[in-house]
Amino acid sequence: MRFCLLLTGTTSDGAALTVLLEAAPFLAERTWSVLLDRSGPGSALTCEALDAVLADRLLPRGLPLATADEQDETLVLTPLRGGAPTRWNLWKERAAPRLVEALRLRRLAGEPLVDEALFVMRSDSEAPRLLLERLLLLGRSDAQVISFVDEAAAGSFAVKVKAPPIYLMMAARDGGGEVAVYGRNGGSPLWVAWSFEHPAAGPAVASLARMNQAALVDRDGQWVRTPAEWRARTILDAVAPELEAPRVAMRSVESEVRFRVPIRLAPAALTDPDLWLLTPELLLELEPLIEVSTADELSRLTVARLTGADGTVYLLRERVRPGTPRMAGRVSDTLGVPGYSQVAGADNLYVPTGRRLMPVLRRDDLRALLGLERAHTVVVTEDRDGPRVVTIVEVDEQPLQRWIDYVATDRRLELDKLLERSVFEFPEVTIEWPKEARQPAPKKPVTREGPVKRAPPPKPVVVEEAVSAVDVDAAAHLRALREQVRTLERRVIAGGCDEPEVWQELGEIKAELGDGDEAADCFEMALLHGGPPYDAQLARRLVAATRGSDSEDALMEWVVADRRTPAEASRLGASLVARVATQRPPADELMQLALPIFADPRLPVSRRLAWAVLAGWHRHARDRLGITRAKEAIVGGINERGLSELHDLPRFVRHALAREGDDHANEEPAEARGDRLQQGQLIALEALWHEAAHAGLPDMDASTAFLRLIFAVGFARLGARGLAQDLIAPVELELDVHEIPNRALFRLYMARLAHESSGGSAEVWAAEVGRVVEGVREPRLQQAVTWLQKRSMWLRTSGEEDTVPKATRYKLPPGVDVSGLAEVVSRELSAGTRSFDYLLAEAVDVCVRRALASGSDAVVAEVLASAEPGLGNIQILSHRAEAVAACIHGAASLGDDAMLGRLLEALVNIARSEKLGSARELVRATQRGLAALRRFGGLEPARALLEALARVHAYTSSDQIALSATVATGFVQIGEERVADEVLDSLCTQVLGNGLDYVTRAQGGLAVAQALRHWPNMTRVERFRRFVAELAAFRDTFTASRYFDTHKILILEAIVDSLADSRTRHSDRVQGFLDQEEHALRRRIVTDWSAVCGR
Amino acid sequence: MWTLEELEPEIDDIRARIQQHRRGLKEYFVARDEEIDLAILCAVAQEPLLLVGPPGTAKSDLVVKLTESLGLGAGDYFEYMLTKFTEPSEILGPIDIAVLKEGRYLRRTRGMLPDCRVAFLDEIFKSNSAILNTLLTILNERKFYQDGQPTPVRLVMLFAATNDIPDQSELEAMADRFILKIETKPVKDRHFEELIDAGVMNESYRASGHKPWTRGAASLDDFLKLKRFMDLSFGMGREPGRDRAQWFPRPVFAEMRRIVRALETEDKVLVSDRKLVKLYKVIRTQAFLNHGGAVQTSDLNLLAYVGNRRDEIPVVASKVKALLGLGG
Repeated sequence: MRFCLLLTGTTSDGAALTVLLEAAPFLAERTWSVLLDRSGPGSALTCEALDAVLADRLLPRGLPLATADEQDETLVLTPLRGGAPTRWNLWKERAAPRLVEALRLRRLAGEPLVDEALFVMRSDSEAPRLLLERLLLLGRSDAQVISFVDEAAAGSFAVKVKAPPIYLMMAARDGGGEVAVYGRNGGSPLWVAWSFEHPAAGPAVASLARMNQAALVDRDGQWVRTPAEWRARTILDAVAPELEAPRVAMRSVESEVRFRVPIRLAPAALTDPDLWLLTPELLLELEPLIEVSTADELSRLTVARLTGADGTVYLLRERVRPGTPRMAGRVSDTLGVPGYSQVAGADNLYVPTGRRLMPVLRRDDLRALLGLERAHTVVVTEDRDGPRVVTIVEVDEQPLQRWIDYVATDRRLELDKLLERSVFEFPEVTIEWPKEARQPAPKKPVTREGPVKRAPPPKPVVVEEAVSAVDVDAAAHLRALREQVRTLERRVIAGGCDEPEVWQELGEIKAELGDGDEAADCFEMALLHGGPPYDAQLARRLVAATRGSDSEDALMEWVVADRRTPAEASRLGASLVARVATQRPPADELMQLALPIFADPRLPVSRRLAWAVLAGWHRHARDRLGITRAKEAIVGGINERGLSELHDLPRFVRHALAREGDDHANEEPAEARGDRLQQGQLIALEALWHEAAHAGLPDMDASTAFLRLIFAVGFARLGARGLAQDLIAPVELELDVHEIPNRALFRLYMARLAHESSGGSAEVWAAEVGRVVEGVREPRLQQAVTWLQKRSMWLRTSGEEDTVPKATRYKLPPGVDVSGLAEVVSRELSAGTRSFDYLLAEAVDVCVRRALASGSDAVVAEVLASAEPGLGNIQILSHRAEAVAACIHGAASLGDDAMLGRLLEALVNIARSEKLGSARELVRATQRGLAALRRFGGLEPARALLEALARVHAYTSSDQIALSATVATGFVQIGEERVADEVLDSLCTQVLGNGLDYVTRAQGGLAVAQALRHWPNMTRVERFRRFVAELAAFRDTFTASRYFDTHKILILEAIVDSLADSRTRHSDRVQGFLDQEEHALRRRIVTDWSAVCGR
Repeated sequence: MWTLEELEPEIDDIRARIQQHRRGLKEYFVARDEEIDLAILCAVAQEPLLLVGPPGTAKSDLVVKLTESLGLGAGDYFEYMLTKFTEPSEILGPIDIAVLKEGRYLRRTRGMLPDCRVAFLDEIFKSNSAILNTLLTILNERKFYQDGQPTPVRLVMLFAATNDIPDQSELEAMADRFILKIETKPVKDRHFEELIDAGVMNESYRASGHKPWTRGAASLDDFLKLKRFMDLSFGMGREPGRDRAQWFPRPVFAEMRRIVRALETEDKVLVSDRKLVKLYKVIRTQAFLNHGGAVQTSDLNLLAYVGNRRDEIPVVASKVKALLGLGG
């Protein structure tokens, strides 16, 4: 009879063992016999020390003690506390050197996952080969193999696998015991039979650690001890691959064979076109674009008239200016033709946009094949017969502006305005118009060969005659209407307007005044803000204003057209909205074709009209999925492209925003307003010139010459060519007395002046720059010239511009769609990633942008949720700032204030950190974050960010200046001009103070000049006066300073460039309105969608 | 309804006819054996089958030829291409205006989905919520609601096709009802010449109005009888575990369990309880159809079609084939 401790194989055993070791700790290291029940999880532990005396002592502590007797191979266990004995018919006994090795393992439910598995088998069996083969088939070549030898020199083979395939573990467990599988979590030295756990894992591990050993424990609790360190090999070292196949060797020989390969046009990525070949009729289609483009924009388009076998053709080309937004998209949208793009590597070869020449040839072969050497321009066109090569030998390109003559046309609106003003100013006279001006000439005669140079504005002939009562009444009515329009326009422009009644009233008056386009804009606004189901009467008014149609034929014709002009697209949209609103919905088949057209963000109509078409129809169809998809398409398009100034901004709003706060400007035509604006800039520049010249302009002084030349370029840019010539005349006279590098630089400025005056081609100017620089033979002197030329914003040619946005280097893994973005960003930002920080930042940016383009808030939220926790893994703070800005963009679109708060705080902390390497990325990130917050209506968070950044003391002065300039610009853009002024004042004081080194001071000056572009003209002049007065402070110690003062020249350039810039502030105002509109449109879309989906 | 005693004498003949039917159908397609095997099996088991693939991969053609080969009567087959704009009346039948005047909302289902035996719905995930909800009820309960009253449908076989499985929560429930989903891939790269030849022959058949595949060896009744036989045999003995003990050998069952567990834990494929039971029955049906006996390891190839999402389908297919290769 033996005394034993009964264990049940459940978690209650733990308590029994604890009590046992408390009462008799010496038992832990004694030898034990383990009696195992083969038909259940129970076991009984016996030990010589566990005798009757000890059992008596332990029994009162509640331990499950029993006596074990063997009766005819049956083990009878009789509890000492009484009760019925237990009989084990199938049992076995084993010995254990200590208590922890006597414990039987506990079974776990199911198939638990483990970090690592160890498959152990006899090395002389088939099992190792089979297991290795299976692992390799599953692609698990990362597994390791280990060989063990026991005391009897019997060999075991083990395979260790991380994240082991559960299939193989189950197969081993379910098998006949040929392969034993053990598992462990973490780096524990204790390997237990898989799907079991050790009841005293802690003490077991401690025991192994003490002896620097590892152990494999089978399901009965039997231990096999090994050294802690194993000699592991890779699985590939353990296999000897075989391939039984015949072998054939080959060698290469020279060949002279040449093959005839036809060249063809193949699809390629869409790029912005550079030129267009237009028929005379098509050229006239540019009129809507010309009407809404600024003089500066038009100056970038050139036209040449060509004749040849195809008759008269016009070559329209956009002169690309670095850093200036391209016009190509607007031109193509207006014309409805894609245009031609320059072929990379061949300056004068163009192919249709979205096509490329295939196969790719060597440049020399291409030149020979297409005669590029002999031609000015070669355009490869394409029609049904295949490609055609159009060779243009000579071309006389002129700026498009020279082809435009602004006239008081037959258009009723302009006539009415003039009539009204005349009556107001001269009540006693009437107006007699030249007869031809009264005749309503056809707008676009088909027979015209090109844009007719129109007559100059007709001068009204004043005839002293008593005015008739009828004329006075009509004029008074007109005047009243215009007064009403102005009142309403002021209201909608002041702060946006979402009252449909106001927009409808404005539309009705504009319609009465005969301005259909603007009336249509207003009716669209009224429809949008009214929401679906749309008011039938209003929808009919929209159709009338756009000259839409009610007929099925017309709708079908527009729907199936290969391409649609903006006017046709608007007509189609208006007509569809009206059909649904008036309960006469178009046929489903037609709508199936029409809906994708309006879901396409490239369609040249306003986003509000596109949404009205989609929302109206889906609400009618009660299609929740449909409106969800429509919402994603429209919001995704807006996220990706924003609203378009051309299509989404009503024309009168654009004109009103161009005014600089002068109410009287209401009555000026756009051209006059533009002239006045330019005049204001001219006056400002003149004032500054006098300030600069006040200290005297000594002859034969290089600094004076640079001053003259820089101001001359500014005057030329503003159209004051005479004044510009006056300024440079002394420089031309004294040219030869200056140092050689300065001579060359003066010539470069003169070339720039000629370029600005003529609006000539960038290539010609760049060639001139190249010639002048090459003309300086002495390398040392040429180096001095290029030193300034490369730093100057005016002398740098396009090839040297650094303003071209860098291409994204991060590429999404192939096959990833929007649903996989969150996983990608999570993987990229995970702690163990080995990628570069700049790639991580780009990965976040790419994923957020793609998510935004999907239009699905859920996708954006998912990506942000995956990105935010990992942002801290981007170690380089400037890159982390970029990633944070991308997330701010996403969070602002969701309106997730909590996340925005966290991200903004992260950005501020980055700005504060002394580990911030360069402020450039931080500034860029701040600008992006602010732009996103403005776009999505987050003015409060934007203000909070700016206020926080304004209090930040950056680690270096240069960073501080860049940050302050950004903060000041941000404040002015959100309308906090007073705060912006304060920040700017402080910045100016810092820049002109004594605490900065030369380089930082110059950088600060340039940053201030850049920021001031966002202020009104007069504010700019006031600030720049201080800079000009203290120009001497912008010194430098560069090698080239023996010839010229680099910093002074660069600061002067920046000042003059800023004063002669009208675009930035105008585009700020336009963007501000568009931001408001976008915010309102998003809210409307969500409201309409919620109404249909019931969410 | 047929009894087990009635079916037992002829069940082997039925099996043979369906097998012959399957082989016959394959003659009109190029490299579509896998899709046809699955379609025939789903037709027998009366489980819906989803064909997922780009346009022009014979999804519609396969279903149309299969249904034509069954010699269905007029009104027994319903086919529709769903769009975002499809209205329930186009699928379930128009509202009966005469009855509506009496205040009852009944549909005239004649010739529509509730009235047919076999249906093919193309682009199923493009339909709107109203149709999807009705289809869910039809698939789950084989009935739809007329004026608030459940009405049984005659539908026994449903095939659906889609170019994609959108990852939208609104569509998950419908996607889950398709126990088996197969990806149809273009075959032109591997079977260029055969594809052209077969395509030309098909065009020729169509032009001449000749449909040789309609001379199928089996009829719709054969499919229904086999399904009935399987239903009766699953319930034989009324004793849990008996069917498994008799027809699903323990090692094969363990293999199935291993593969399902591997798909769930390593590939996060959702195999719901309902899906697991249906999978068991489909595997059993395939085993009986193919060799008339107990399930073999090769019958577990059906697990290759349990992927739910578009990106899962090929991953699961290759994983299951690899695991079966290991076990074999």
